[in-house]
Amino acid sequence: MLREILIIVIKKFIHQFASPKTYFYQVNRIYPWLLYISLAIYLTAIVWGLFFTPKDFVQGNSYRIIYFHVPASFIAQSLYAAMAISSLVYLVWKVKLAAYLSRSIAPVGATITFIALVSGSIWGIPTWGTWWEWDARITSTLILFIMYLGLISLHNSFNNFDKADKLFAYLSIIGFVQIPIIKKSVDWWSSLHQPASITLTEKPAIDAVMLYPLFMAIIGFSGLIACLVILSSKVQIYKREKTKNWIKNYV
Amino acid sequence: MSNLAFNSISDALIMDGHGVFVWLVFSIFLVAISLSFKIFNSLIKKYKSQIR
Repeated sequence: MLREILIIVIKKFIHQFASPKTYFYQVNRIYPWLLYISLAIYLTAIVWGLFFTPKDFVQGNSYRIIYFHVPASFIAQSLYAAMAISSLVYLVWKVKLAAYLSRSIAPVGATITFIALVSGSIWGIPTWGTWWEWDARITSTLILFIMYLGLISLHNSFNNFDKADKLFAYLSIIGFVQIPIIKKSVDWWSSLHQPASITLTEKPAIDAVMLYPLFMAIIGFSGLIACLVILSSKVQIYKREKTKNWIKNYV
Repeated sequence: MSNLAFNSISDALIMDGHGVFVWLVFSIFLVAISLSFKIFNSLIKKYKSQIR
């Protein structure tokens, strides 16, 4: 009995929230709140990090780039994981919205990976004495950026959305192998890039004075990126649902 | 929150010679994120007008 109720609830949930229409109305309601709250959190973190934290003993003031580089790198990888999970949901349960979401994440992921690469390169000049080195972490992040671009080009090259979505989903799942490689690259190979300062299992290697604004920056920036994904998914919905009555009525 | 790390605005801009790197990253960050919002919003406008 309990099992049947659970199945009905799950089915109802999937049917209700996996519909592009329901998603569209829900995100429209959430979007302004998410945008302003995330912006407030991120701006507070940036002001705190740039002006109120002491300078680093080794790196001096250049370490302040951490408040841009670390959130961008973390989110670049998280977005790829989200894209792969969404692709899996699409392939397994044929949820149309999951395909829209995967495609929406790709351009945002490419932009954030670009920011991570550029901010890392600029940070490299005062700390390593070079803006680029073909070491494991930097090269694997560059491959991630190329993968995002490749997936976008692949999807755009098809006129048939179903075929494009399927190929996109398969390739993004295969490409997921890159994420643990990026994560572990600093441990597996000798690298100019320092190992992770924050891990789930160990005490952070960064002082609390610098750590709190960094956490805030990661939270605020994640919210801003969620807003970008919402906008990008709305683009996909307008593009693909344009013949549906509900979207015509909405517009 | 700790005390202010700089004594003046020019100190905050120069950051002991590292300001150029920090503010360059800040500018790139700001431009990339603002442009992304602008591009997605203009695409939404474009598709909306096509539907109309």
